[in-house]
Amino acid sequence: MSDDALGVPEHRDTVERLERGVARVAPPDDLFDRIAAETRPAPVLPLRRRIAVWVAPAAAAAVGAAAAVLITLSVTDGGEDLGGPVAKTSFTGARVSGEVALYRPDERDGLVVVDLERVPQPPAASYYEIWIARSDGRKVPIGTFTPQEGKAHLELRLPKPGRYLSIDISIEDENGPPDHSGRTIAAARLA
Amino acid sequence: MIRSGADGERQVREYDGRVEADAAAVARVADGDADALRQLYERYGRIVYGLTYRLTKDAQLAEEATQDTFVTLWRRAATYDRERAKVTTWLFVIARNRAIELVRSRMRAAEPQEAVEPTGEDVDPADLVQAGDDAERIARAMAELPESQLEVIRLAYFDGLSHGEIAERLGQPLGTVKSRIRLGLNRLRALLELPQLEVER
Repeated sequence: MSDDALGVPEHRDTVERLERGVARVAPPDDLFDRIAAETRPAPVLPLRRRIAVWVAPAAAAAVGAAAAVLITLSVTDGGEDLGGPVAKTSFTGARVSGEVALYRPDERDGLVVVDLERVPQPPAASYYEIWIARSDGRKVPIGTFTPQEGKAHLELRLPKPGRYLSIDISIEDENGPPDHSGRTIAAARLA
Repeated sequence: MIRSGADGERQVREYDGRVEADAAAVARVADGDADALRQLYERYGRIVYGLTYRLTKDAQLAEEATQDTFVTLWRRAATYDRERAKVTTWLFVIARNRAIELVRSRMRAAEPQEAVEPTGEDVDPADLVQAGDDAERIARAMAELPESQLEVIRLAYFDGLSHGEIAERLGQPLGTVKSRIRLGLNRLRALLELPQLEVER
């Protein structure tokens, strides 16, 4: 008797048909380890400390100021204060407006805070993704989002300590490749 | 899912349970649960690799496509809509698209040299999309099996284990393993004869 557990004569055709679509080969044992190395905890993180956050111009308009207003949020565990941002700037792009602030990029708990307004809903079967460019120019995805009533507030962990040059928001197809689509709707320089 | 046959109701429940479990796993992935990603990889990673290998005919490209597929699943889990498609449909479409893209990239890179880099079984660009559709359909047929049948067929098909080895691996009686393989192959034969597999629930 054949060692092939699927070597049943009456099912030879079935197995052959399978082989036409799905090769009868096993992936290398370490493939999942490589996948795991490329993944990391969910990018959108709740703040667990006191940080300074720039809020949207709507609040500023209420007090007649043109710029955004710096406020301090109190959060759950009363941890260390991250202090002020090392960089803060506005997004440029015809389709959205907003602010971005960078905190502690040289440390392991580095954070980028993004506040957006006038964000249209993404096209069907698409979504928005935020990318940050490292000093070597490589863009790294740090989060996805769906705007609520045209707004989004995101607190995103930086991939690792380092120097970051810019941030941009792209439209990505749900079934597209994992690389940047090149369809940037807004961008900001951080350095 | 074929919903008729002698072993009907129990297998339908088992299959529906896995569809639910898959959707729940994707929701956990969206929350950053790496164990849920591993669970989905263990369930479907071999099928994804087999599908991408069939399209690319290249182990390195198949590894890259499989890796990209699961990284994409990780990154885009929050966008998954269970009302639109099963997890397996979503996953295999991502895999098919990525494999086709890699093949096309390889062909572009091969220009203007001698057309396509020879790989034993060269891919005709005109047939690539059709091949992708066929491969995806066959992958979905495999994924339509109830878990108890998919598990034994996975071990036999991809890992080449014998009946005895599968029985030992799973701690199941030899007769149970043989029975599940036979039932699974019967179901696969029926599924592969369908003109179009059920995609939506």
